[in-house]
Order: sequence, then structure tokens, then C-alpha cells
Amino acid sequence: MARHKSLQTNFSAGELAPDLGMRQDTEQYQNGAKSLRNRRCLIGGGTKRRPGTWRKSDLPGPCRLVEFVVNQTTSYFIAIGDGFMFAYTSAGVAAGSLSGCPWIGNIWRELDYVQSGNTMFVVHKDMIPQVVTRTGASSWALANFGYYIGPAARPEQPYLKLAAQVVTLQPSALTGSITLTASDAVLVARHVGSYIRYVKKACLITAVAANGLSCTATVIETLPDTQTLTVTSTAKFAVGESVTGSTSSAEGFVTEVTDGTHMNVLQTNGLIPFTTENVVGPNGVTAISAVSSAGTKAAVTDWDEQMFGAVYGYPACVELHRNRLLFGGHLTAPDYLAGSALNNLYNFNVGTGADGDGFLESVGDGQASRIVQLHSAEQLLVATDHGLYYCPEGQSNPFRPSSIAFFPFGSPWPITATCKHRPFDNGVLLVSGSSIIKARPTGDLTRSWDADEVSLLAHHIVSNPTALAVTSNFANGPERYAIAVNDDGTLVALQLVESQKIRNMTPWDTNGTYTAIAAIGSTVAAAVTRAIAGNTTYILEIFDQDLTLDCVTEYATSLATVTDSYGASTVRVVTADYDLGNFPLSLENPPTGPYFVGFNYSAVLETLPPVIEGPDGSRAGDFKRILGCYVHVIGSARFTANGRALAAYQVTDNLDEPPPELNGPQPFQFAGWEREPTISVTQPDALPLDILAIRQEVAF
Amino acid sequence: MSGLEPLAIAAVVGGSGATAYGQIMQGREQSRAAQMEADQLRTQQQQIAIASAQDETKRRNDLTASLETIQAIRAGRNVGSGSPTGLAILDSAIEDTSRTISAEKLNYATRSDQAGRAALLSDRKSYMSLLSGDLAAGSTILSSGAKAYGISTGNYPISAGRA
Repeated sequence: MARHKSLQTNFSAGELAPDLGMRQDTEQYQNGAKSLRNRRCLIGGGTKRRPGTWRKSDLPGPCRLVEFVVNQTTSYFIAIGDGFMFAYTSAGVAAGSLSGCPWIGNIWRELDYVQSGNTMFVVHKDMIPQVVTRTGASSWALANFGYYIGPAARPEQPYLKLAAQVVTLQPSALTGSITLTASDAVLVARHVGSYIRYVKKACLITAVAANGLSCTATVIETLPDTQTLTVTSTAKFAVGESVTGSTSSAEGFVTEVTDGTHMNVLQTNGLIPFTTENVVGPNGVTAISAVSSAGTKAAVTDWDEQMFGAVYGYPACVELHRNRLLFGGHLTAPDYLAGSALNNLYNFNVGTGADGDGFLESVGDGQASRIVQLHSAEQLLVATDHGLYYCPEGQSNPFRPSSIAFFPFGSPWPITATCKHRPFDNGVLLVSGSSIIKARPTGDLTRSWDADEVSLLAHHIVSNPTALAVTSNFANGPERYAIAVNDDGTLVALQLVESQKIRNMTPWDTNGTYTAIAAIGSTVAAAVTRAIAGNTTYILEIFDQDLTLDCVTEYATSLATVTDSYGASTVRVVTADYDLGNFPLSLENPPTGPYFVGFNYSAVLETLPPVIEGPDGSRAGDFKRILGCYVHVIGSARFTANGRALAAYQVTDNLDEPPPELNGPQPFQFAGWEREPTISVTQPDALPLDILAIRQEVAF
Repeated sequence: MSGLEPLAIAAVVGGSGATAYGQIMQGREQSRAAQMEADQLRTQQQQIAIASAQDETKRRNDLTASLETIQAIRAGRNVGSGSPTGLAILDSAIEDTSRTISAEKLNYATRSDQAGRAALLSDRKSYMSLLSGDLAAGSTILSSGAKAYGISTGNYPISAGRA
């Protein structure tokens, strides 16, 4: 019988997926674990029992959590659910609310938002964009997004022709209340109250005919006239040609050539009319001898209508980038990106495409059919249902209408719209189904971004994440994590320090379901659904590494009121040094408080089967026996390895004192032969356990 | 009447004739020069009109090329061809060129107009030169006739120095 000793000094590859169980040839296998349930990986290589949570506030219902950071000292967790918004300080204290919010039903699950200062823009494709404003420490206001009002009281909103290109529009007059007639039934009752533009001049629709072919509208800006020109000869002019006046600066295009000396021209250079001058066309010049306003105004294809509204829906995603507000993911024009004018977040007038104008651009490669998320980083990232794009920009090529481009990178992952991206580890995390993707700048001028999946090695613990949060200096330590909420109510903690080749994931669960997560600095909050006293309860909880239970309430001296909070639910009671067991306590004389009462959770570290190369080759699959191991710990309580528990006290310890902290190697002896033996470390007590390394001796 | 007077009369009349002839010829010469200048200015006016047309054609060709370049660049940037911003940029390019063409046409028209006016002035100058030469010659002849009459009647000193 030969023996083999090995020392695993770090778990920096985290929990590995079962289908990687035979990749003993990889570095990740050497540094991985079969299970790291409810543990987190430390930057130094060890692992730690995950933090417990404080029970902070009961939430009115299922919700998502949003960070609202005003400045370094003022920040909130915002709970957004069916028709409500509740604010909590970063310490979890209630700080005002809004009711009657328009995100009713289930659409709150699909909201997108962006926040800056005291303002947050909230969008959904079925809802007028909303502006949430913090008006005081605990007071909030909600309003519909209002566009900047331009000349002639014209709302400067995005306009787009959403009907077929061939459809024409014809006004009955140029001012006042007019009738607009379309060549196809493109008008619906929901058009009432929306704006439509005839040759870029706006009208407000007040009524729509039942046949959808016409509407009544109030002219907001005087419409350009159709003029009948009496000319020397129309021989060199044709319908559709652009023409200019030789002296008046009038411009237009020919809408009708009536006969050899008459033609109709629609003004296109503002409202400047043609006069008795020469009219110049692409094929010739002729003299105008008389001008009159045509009785029938031209029916033209040059018309458009407000992009966002009750007819076609609203933007589905929003972002702030380079002092512009961006909207994307429109229901009818989903590949369009609308940007506000520079330094005016409410003005979307595209103007002449000048650097300061707003813009309305579409992804032009025919691949991406819908923009689902926008992320402002060194460059704007556009996440679509067919992969990621970046908009290149630099000091000499700023983000402006004439420079906008959409360059694809990474694989064509369909990015999940409802799981908001997060900046992390010099990149951006996004979710595509059950994959977590990291986009990162390359530093290369010709290919500025790249992306890959960071969850491949632990894909078994990622299930369609619905929310992401990132935290730095977690628990005042050097670790930073991205934490994802799975659709099965569990969490995944991702540690990523690519510069140090650290990438790992560990699963976290509780005796409820996590529904949302958010992080402000090192503070991580979760919305958790729990069954307490037979009732479904929605709770705001905040993680704290000093806790070893979930949903904790602190009782200073007495446990008499525990049932008020937890009913008959099974809860554990711990003090700073003791795990006192489940409530009600069986101890006659429990130690003094304060008592921390909450739900216990199982934390497990299970190693991968040992890798042994015998003189005649691999021993994989052969019967082996782990003779024993040393589990190196620091500042820990007692624990078990493969069911064998350490004693809380040694014979020399004072039993009147709390069990001493365990530090250094803790020995275990095992029996039994297995083909794939492992060491499973668990905790009978809800107390701290930091494991730095495991040394094992295997007989084979 | 002294014996010198016929000679003096002949000298006066003969000299005046020569002067008058010279003045007529000078007028005609100036007229020809002015006419030539007018012709040159008319040619210049025609050239300006041609240059104006050529300039406009060139600018329109350049605009067409620019619009195609813009569209090619936009396609390379992977943005939609018919987006409002794309159309605004194209419209802006067209508008800029149209304004430039109008301004240049105005400049050319002004120069053409100036050349036309200068040609007219030269025409007038030509006519006036001719006329002034003839008038000067007539004046000389009349003046010499008066002088000869004065000599013959003794009312005109032959030599102012001796009178």
C-alpha cells in the first residue's frame, strides 16, 4: 500500500461544475472544490463561512432593489415593486416611499433605470418614462418624463417614421385645426394626444377617424406651403426633383408637373416661398412669372411621428453617457438608440446632426434586432439580443452624432434584458441566460473591447440570474464580489481578480428565496422571501460578516419576544461565542446576551477527489483511502470533517469560558476505501469557520 | 497790313489744321482703346458666367461624392442608412453645399455684373473719346479761323511780345 500526501493551499478556482470532475489535468482542479456552499473565497486563497444577514425591514411585496447614491455620505436602497417604491438608507432604515407608481403588475421586474445625483430615470417599454426625484432626506417625487419644449412650444422628442416608407400624408391647410390624410390606414385611436410631423413641422393630433386614414390635428408649427409656379417651361423638371429659387433662397421639391408652364413645389427650406425669379433644378432653369398657393397641399412621404408614446411604446432601457441621456429598446424600432442633446437631457432634437445635437441612430448590421441594455464605460456598450457592441470614441473622436458607430465584439450572446449590467474588475458584467459574461477593454485601438464567459467552470450554480450587485472591500477586507440572484432564489458569489488569475464562484442559499440584491460600497442588501409563521414575508436584509445566521434580530437580554418576529419557525440562537441551538432554548442557564436570532444555513467545503499519479500511471478511479487530514483554520469554531466533529473543548480548557478559537492545523483520521474519496467539512454550529488549507494523506 | 500777315495767316491756318487732325486721330485712338477694353470686359463677363456654371457643376459633383463618402463611412460604422440622424447629416451636407453654391453664384454674378458695367463704361468712353477728338479738332479750327481773321484785320497781335 503506497501513500501520497498533498496540500491544497488555496481554493481560488471556487466550486467546480460536476462535468469538470475529471479535469484533473487543469490548474483549476488543483485549486478548486467539489462544494463551497455558503462560503466565500478569500483573496489569500482560503475560504470563509459566508456572512449572515440582518433583518432590516419588511417589504410590502416582491420587489427589486436599486442603488441610489447621491454622494459619498448619502445613499439609499430603493425597493421597487408592484406600484410602489420604498427607500431605505444604506443602513436599512426606512427613508420615505412613493405609492401609485405606474410600474404595476409585473413590469417592475423589467424596469431599467439610471440615476445621477437626486434624479433617477426609470423606463419600461409599456410605461411613460418616469423621473424619480429625491426632494429631501426621506421624501421623494415622481413625474412623467417631460421633453424640453423648443420653438413654437414643440416638444423636442425623438421622431421617426414608423409607418411604411411609401405611406404619404397630406394636410388640408397650413395652420389651425386641420385634417391630415394618410394614404394607408396607419392612424389609430391611441394617436390622440401624440405629435406628428409633416416635413419636420409638428402637429398635435386631437382626433382620429375610425377608418385610420385621417386625423384632426392642431398645427404647432406653420406647415410649409405647396406653391403653384407659373414658369416659362416645365420641360426640364420632373416630380421629386429638388429645386431652388435663384434669389429668394427658397428650396423645395416638385410634387406635380401640371402642364407645360405650371408645376407645384413644396417648400423645404423653412417657410421661405418662391417668388418671381428663376427656379433652378438639376436639369435646367426656368423663369417664374407667377406664384400662388396651391389649393391642394402636397401628399408627401416626408413625415414622421413621435417615437415614444402610447401607440408604439416607450424605451426599454436608459443610460447616461457623456452628458447625454440615452434611450433604447423601443418596441417598434428596437434597434434604435436615441440620444439627447449635449448637456440637455430632455432635448432629443436631432437638428442637423451637429456635435451638440441629439441623435437617433440604428444598429445597421441587421444582426441585432433589439437593444436590451446600455452601459456607460470608457465607451458606450450596447447590449442587444444578438451580442454586444461598443461605440468607439476617444479624445479626437468624441461621442457625437456624426461619429456614432456600433462595432460588435464577443460572441453573439442574447443578453438578458432584466439583469442589469455592473462594472466589475476593470470590465462590465452582463448576463446571457445562465452565463455570466465579462466585457473588458482591450487597450487596442482597432478592437477596443472583448468579452468572454466567466461562469463556465461553475455553470451548475448559475441559473438565469435576474439581478447582479457588486461590492468592494467586503466586510472591510480586500475582497470584492459580484453577487447574482438566480431564478431559483439562490445566490452566486463571483470573485474575479483577473490580473491575479483569480476567478471563482460559490453558491449561497438560505431557507427562503433571494429575489433581489443591491450593493452600495461594501454594504450588500438582499430582498428575501421567507415563510415565517406560515406567512410569506418579504424582507430587506443586509449582509454582515459578523453574523452567522440569516434574517437576524438582536435581543439584548431576553428572548421572550422571539415568537413575535418569527412565530413558530425554527430559528437558531447564537451569542458572540456560543451557538445555543434552536429556539426555544433547552439550556436552563444560557449565557448572557445579546442574543442573535435567525435562520441557520449550512456551510460546506468538500474537496475534489485526490489526484494521484502512480509509477504505472494515473490512479483515477482506483480504490483509495484518505487516511487523515489536517484542516488549517484561523479564528474558527469547532467543525466536522467527513462527519467526525472536533471537540469544542480540550481537556485543559476552562469549561466556564467560551470554547477557544481554533487556529492552525486541526487533525482528523478517517477509515474506508472509495474510488473518489473527498473530505467534506461542515459546521454543527452556526459560528465562524475560516479554512486556509487542507493537507491530506491518501493510501492507494 | 504788313507783308508778313499772309504768311502769318497761312501759318496759323496750317498749324491749326495739323492740330485738329491730330486731335481727331487721338480721339479715334482713344475710342479704339476703350472699345477694345469694352470687348475684353464682355469676354471677361462671359468667362465669369462659364466659371460660375463650372464651379456649380464641380461643387455638385463634389457634393455627390461627399454624400456617397458619408454613406460609405456610416455603413462602415455599422449604423442604419435611413436613420433620422443619418438623414440630418446628409441634409446638412446638402444644405451647406447649396448655401456655398448660392454664395458663389452671387459672387460670380457680382463680378459678372461689374464686368458688364465696366464694358458699358468703356463703350461710352469709346464714344466720348471719338466725340471729344472731333470736338477738339473743330474747336481748334474755329480758333485758328478767328486768329487769322484778327491778323487780317489787325486786331490780333502777331507777337504778343511786341504789342
